[in-house]
Amino acid sequence: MQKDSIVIGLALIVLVLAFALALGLNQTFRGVSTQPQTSTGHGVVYAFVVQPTGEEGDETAGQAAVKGVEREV
Amino acid sequence: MMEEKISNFIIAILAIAIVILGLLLIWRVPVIRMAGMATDTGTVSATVSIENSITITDAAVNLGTIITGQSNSSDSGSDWFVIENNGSVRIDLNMEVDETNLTAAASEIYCKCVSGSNQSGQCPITNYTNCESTEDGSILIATCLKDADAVDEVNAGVNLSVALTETAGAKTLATTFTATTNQSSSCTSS
Repeated sequence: MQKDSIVIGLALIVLVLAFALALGLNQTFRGVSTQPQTSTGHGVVYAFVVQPTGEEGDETAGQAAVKGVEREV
Repeated sequence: MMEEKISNFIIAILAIAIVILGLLLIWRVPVIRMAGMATDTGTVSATVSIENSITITDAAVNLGTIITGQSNSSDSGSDWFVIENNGSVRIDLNMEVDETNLTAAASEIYCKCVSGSNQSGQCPITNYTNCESTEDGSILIATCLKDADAVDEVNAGVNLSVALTETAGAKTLATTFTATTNQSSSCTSS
């Protein structure tokens, strides 16, 4: 009976010490911070959309435009 | 007799545990000090940081004139985005193109990753894949891109397929690249 009481008492002391250790370590390291993990960059895609006109036979507007430039040159 | 042996053993174990925990408490936790002990405290401050940063060294792709019903891509004009990892960590790279300046829902934007001489890591999207911001969301085009100067670049291409119903005119499509730190063991050990 006397030994049982000693065992229970010692077990309680172990629990209290373990709790205090965990609490203290948490306070010690709680200041650790982290940086944002992502970054972004931006670009642009350019395009010029034209619709085929059907002029000059079955040429497309783009082909006709190229021919026009060639004639001027 | 048996009970007495077990009790002694348990008492010994508990006593040892108390000693160990007590020593740890004093050694590891600076806020706990024994009464009467002369102490003074100082503070060491440090911020452990990693730098996740990318630069788009070639930020414009010009696909030129596209007739409705046709498409054009970075391949035909050899015009590519060049993305550089200039941070201090390895990254995964996502890409998306904003389609709001296209009037026809049938017009499609595709993205892909291209292996370059200064590239590292993996390039999982080597075929043009839908990457419209609203319709598809960003897609992962490169993984585990290293930060060392010689191997910190990746090229990305765009393919624009113009629907027959698209309105004519100049189209400007905003493109966003997002770098996410990759600290997985499979990446950092390679």
